[in-house]
Amino acid sequence: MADQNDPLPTREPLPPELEPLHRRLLDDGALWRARLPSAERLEDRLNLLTQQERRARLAAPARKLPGRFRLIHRMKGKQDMLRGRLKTALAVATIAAVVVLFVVLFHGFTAGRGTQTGQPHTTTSTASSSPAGRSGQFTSYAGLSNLKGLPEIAPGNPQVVYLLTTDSSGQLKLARTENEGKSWQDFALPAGKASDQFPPTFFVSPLDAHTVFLTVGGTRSGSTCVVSHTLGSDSTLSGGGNICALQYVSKDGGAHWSQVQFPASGIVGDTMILDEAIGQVNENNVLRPQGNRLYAAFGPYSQYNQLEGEAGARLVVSNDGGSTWQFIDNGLTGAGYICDIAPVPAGSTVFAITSDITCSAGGGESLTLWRSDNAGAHWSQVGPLPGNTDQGMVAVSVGNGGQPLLYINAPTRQGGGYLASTRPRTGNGALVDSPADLQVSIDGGKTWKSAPTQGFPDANANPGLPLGVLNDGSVVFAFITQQSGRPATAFYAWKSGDTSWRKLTPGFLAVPQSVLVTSTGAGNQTLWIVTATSATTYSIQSFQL
Amino acid sequence: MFIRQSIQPVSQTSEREQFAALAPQHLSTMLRAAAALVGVADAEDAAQEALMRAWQGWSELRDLAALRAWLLRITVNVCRDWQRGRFGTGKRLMEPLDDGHAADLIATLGSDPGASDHTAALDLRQAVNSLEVDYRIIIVLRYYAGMDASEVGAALGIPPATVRTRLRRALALLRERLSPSENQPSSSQWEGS
Repeated sequence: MADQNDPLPTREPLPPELEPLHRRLLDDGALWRARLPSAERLEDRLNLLTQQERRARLAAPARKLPGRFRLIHRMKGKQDMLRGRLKTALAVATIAAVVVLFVVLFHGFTAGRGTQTGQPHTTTSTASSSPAGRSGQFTSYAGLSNLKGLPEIAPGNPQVVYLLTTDSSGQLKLARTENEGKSWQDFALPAGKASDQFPPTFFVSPLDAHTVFLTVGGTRSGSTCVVSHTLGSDSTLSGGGNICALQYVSKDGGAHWSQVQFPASGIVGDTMILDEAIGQVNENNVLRPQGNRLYAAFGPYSQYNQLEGEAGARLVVSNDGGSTWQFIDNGLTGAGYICDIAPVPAGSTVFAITSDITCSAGGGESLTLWRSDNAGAHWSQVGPLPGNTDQGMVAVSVGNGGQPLLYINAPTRQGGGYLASTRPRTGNGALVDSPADLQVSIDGGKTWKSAPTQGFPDANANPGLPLGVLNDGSVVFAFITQQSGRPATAFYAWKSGDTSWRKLTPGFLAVPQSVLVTSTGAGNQTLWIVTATSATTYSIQSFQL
Repeated sequence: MFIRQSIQPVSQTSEREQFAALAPQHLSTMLRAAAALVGVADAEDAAQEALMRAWQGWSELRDLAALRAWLLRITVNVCRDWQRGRFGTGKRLMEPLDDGHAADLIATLGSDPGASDHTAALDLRQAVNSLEVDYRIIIVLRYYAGMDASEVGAALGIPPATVRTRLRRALALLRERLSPSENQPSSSQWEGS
């Protein structure tokens, strides 16, 4: 069947110098697609699937197979997949019994050993006795498993977990638990629907576990951002060139909401906009705390009347918990792209990074470090940074007037994304980053020293974003690798002065959706890891350090 | 643009029959996206897997207007899993994807047929393959899978503005790597904006 969206649109708001390449890619893409097989066979497969489903419904009440069975089923092979569905449906009871028996036995085995086995979902299948689980192993929580929505753990109190999900009628709601998912309290949203082109997203304040920010996408109409409302009948938000967004804040855990006030049209950064710089993909990073202040990147509307990311990012601060915000980038906006901000946790010193070209793509640009000792009111240039791509900066207090430690993951790239030729290559020939690209400064950014490669599992690995800071000043990173053919994550830490990286956890056989590092007053430190358990469900696990 | 106007109103038919009626409209795009991401040889299987997931999750789709974006997102997710040995999970925090995966993601472009000037096409595709994965996937979905910025954004879970920002950046990087050959005129007529 013909696709109703053909032909491919060719209009893009591109600079003139890019148009020839744009046309060349359009041509090459069209030629490439012309040689693809038609979708007829795929349609045949769809018909077969639906016919079998009808037959199965006639033979027995339809049942939706749990994800685990789908995986087992897939292993039978592609050709048998469709035929096997009927057989699998008939064998559900048998397989379920086997799987349950396996889980019970395996759980007993791992519990008996008291060590992590590399299968985090089997280490503890019931809620743990302590908030962060047992030390030395990954802990699962029955009430925080297979959540139908991406959860966010409150950075200031990991007992508080939020979830954006739909109720039985399809209405989007914010759910909150404070007892490991044993019970949830639901709250209506001030705006936004699950059916919006960009459904609402949210993040939690690091200062207060009951302060939640909601971002709702909409369509710009003149100077107004029109968002969908839960009780409204509209749903004309089709996105395209006039996408915009509004933000709301609740300071009572979701019960009441008010619109956030900004000095201009736009929103503070989450994954909606500032995907390349501040905040990036970990929404725990959207707001950067300092005492009672919150710093954030702010995404204004671009010349195309769209929310713009890195190219237009500005810096804002809030002194009232996030209700109102003010610009603090006077003196920075003319310095190029604003790439990053790292407040020292105590006091009023904050660092920022600007770039003359881009922040993270590489290509010969230079990064400049800036410092403010009055919460962004005035900035002074510290100097150039050692690399030319910003992949995350964090400032650590050292106390008693000492200069803060600054960590930055700043690989040196050349040729627009290529790393310097002295860098090692992976098996497929790609030049990669290395832990040595992580730099530390003990003098406020004036001089820098590379982190060692010793102790890191793969000297070629990119440590990625700093995930958090431990009590001893170590910075936590995650490293993605393969373990027995499956993606695995290893968590490592390093602090200035150490000659080697420190492995924090056993291998974690999944790639996290997000990671949070928390510390209690008693000194307990915990990694909180959110993973996807299916295309639409997520689970939370913890690891007490 | 999404095809809201093409969605038929819910009738007396069951949800499953509704799926069977609506999904075929999007098979071509799903197949193209899969071919661009996992290669022609595996495209049908990956697209079928995406259909299976969509079939099983059909009751979770609350608004038929979002069907196309939903299917494309599932397809992209399946293709990512596919490259990880089919049993991986989503990778939000750690993107860009690891280099091994990234290289595989569209490495098939270079060996697939379809270019009138094979050498030039290989140069272009090799340059595409050398991009960082965030840029590669934008280029591949936009030009090779033939999706517009809204569709790419919906499939990747990012707004079209971000897609366009990345697209401009990716093109600038490609131009730098291909220079001066990228300035060769194309045979097609640019419509301009």
